[in-house]
Amino acid sequence: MSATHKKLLLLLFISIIFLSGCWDRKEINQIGFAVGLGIDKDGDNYQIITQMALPSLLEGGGGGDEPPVWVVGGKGRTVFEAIRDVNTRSARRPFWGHLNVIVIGEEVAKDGLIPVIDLLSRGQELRRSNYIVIAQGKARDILEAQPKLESINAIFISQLIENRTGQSVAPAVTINDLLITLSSSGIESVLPRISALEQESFLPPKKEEGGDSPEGEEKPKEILELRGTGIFKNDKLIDWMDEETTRGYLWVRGQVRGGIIVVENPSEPGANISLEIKSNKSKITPRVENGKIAIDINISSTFNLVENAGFVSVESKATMQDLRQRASEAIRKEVNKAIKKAQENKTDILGLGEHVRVQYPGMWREIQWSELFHTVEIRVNTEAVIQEAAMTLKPVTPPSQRSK
Amino acid sequence: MIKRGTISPRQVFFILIMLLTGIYILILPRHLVTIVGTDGWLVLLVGGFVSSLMLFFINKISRKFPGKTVVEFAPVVMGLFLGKLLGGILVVYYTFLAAVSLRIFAEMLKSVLLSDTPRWVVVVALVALITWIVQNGLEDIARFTELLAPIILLLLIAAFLGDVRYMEAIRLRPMFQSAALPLLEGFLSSLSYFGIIIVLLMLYPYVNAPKKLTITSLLALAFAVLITIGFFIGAVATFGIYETGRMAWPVIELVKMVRVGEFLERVESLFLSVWLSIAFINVSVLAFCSVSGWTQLINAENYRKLTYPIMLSLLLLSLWPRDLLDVLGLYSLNFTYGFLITLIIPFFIFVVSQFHKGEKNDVSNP
Repeated sequence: MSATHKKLLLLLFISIIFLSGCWDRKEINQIGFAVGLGIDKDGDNYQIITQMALPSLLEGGGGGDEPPVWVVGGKGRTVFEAIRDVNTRSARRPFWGHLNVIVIGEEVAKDGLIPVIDLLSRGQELRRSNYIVIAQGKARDILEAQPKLESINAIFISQLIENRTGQSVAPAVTINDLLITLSSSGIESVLPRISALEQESFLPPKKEEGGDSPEGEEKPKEILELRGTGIFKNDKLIDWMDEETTRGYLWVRGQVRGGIIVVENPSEPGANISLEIKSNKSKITPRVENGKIAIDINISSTFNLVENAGFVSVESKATMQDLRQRASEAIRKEVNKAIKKAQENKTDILGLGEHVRVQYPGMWREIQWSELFHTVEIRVNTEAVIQEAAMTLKPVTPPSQRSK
Repeated sequence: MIKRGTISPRQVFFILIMLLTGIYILILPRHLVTIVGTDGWLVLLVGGFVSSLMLFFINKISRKFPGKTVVEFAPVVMGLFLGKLLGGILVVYYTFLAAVSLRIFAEMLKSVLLSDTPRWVVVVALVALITWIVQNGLEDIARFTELLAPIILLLLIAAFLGDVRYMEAIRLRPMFQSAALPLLEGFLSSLSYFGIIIVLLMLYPYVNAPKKLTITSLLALAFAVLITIGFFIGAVATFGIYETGRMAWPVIELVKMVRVGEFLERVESLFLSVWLSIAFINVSVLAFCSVSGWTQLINAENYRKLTYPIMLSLLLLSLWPRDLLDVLGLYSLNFTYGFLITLIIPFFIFVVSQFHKGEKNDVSNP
């Protein structure tokens, strides 16, 4: 073979890459990228809401008032029928591979997740690593809200989840996590709660500027908030946990990644000190005592002292010791709240049963954990270490307060 | 005849690894989980150890008859009828494995990536390519494998590492909870799974340094045991035993979870192209064993003439089962009974060959 022939052959080979088509091809201008999915119930039917990205409005960013997503719904007896119903209204076939978040309506969750979750685990485009949240109220209100900062609200929600470590008041749950907790024995499911608000709940109501929106027409809500947790028994939503209880739950699961604990300055009553949570470890040890199961939970955590609102410095060994006590007491309070909530609802969201199953598999087969869980004695041991005081050694002190 | 003594032990090493961790690993975790739950790694480990016994027999008998494949020396050892029968069983087994791996790959591609593409398009394209490379002989297959296998192995390890953050140790426990009977069944399954290494019986005469093959094949087996255990543990630690047991393609689901940083998702298309190469290597080697086996079985002159009818029947065979469940049912036959072929036949030949003086001087391998 001559050199020219070889070159020609090489050219032919390279052209394979560019000339070959693909049977299953979907041109990019024929598919709609679904970025958010909400599932609601309407009587016996499922109602789904999808958010489809509008690429033309995304580029340039000059669109103005119009959000670069189109919210479109579908209805059907099953979720999949509802999803296909979207096709009758959308010229582009929805593509689910880039979904950011799935929002489950409160009503759907109360009726049970199993009929919904099966599809989510089967689909070839959907990913098991997608986040899933539960809406307080209708999923529709969440997906139609127009939060600031991020023009696509599904992306806003998934960023809320990724940034949850700022306060650790909501868990992060993926489809995979949910499927595992639904199918495993000894652990029940939780989902983070998202709610849409007219405005910040703790700000006084703004004066309506008038003329902006006609009377009676609903304005999309502007605030989306990820706080608290929905707790499940089997696949049904039965109760909510508030922020503190949620963090108690996260302490036990070893999932607190950040947040602030406020304690009183031991040497100055009335003055508060903020401790920033740096890390959290938890060890769950089930024991069998006199044929009864008892569970020890050991939680260790480290803190940074980030704010001292009083005048008295705490940087002495004795006060630091005292501060540690107070911090670990604060954690214990939160954890006990979570345990109380779980035992009242008779649902083992903390996954304590899983440890019993692993440690005492023989015993596990004979007991009925869901009947037993709320009677089990749970001992909580907390330990806090305060590492450093950021960059300052002493609090801000006016001259009058200084000791001479 | 095909030129013998042309491939290196290193190429054999990669061929064996690709066969052992290639197509059938896609369904292995699910199969083991449904039998022994979290104890799958244990049966894989024990199965791997016992498979080294199988390798011992294979290496012993092949070295006793240098330059001959099992189909050729079996009649010498066992007598014409029994020898041809055992050789025939092995050749049918190779053909079966080739057809099923072709179909399993096509099913995987269909359910994960190309849902609207008819199966035959994938299968026919692959078979056409494989026919061509089988015509060219083992050397081409070996070189291709040597080129691609390291990349494939690196990507497999990368896929595993990419999932570590989803894994939780508690999902692997409690251990040692299976009863004796399921443990035995799981052990036999893993033995049958590693039994694919029996292709070595056909490859032996083509290797230029057969003395090194004992070490090479053992190394390949050890490596493959590590990888399969890794993927089993990876799947169970990520999905738990219930979810793994529910999945059609646990290993592919693992790959789908991989995310590079915050922005690069859906890397499974990359991995599926990797599996395309794996499928190509797997079926090529098995098809080669099948074609050359049939040729030697009927003492045909030229194996090239036989390639077309055999590849065509391979194609039809792989398209024959109706759906995935049929295919899995078919392959579960191998999980249950495969060891009868891959362990018992070499053992049987080995025992009988102890009464045979063997052939030390062969023309093609002085």
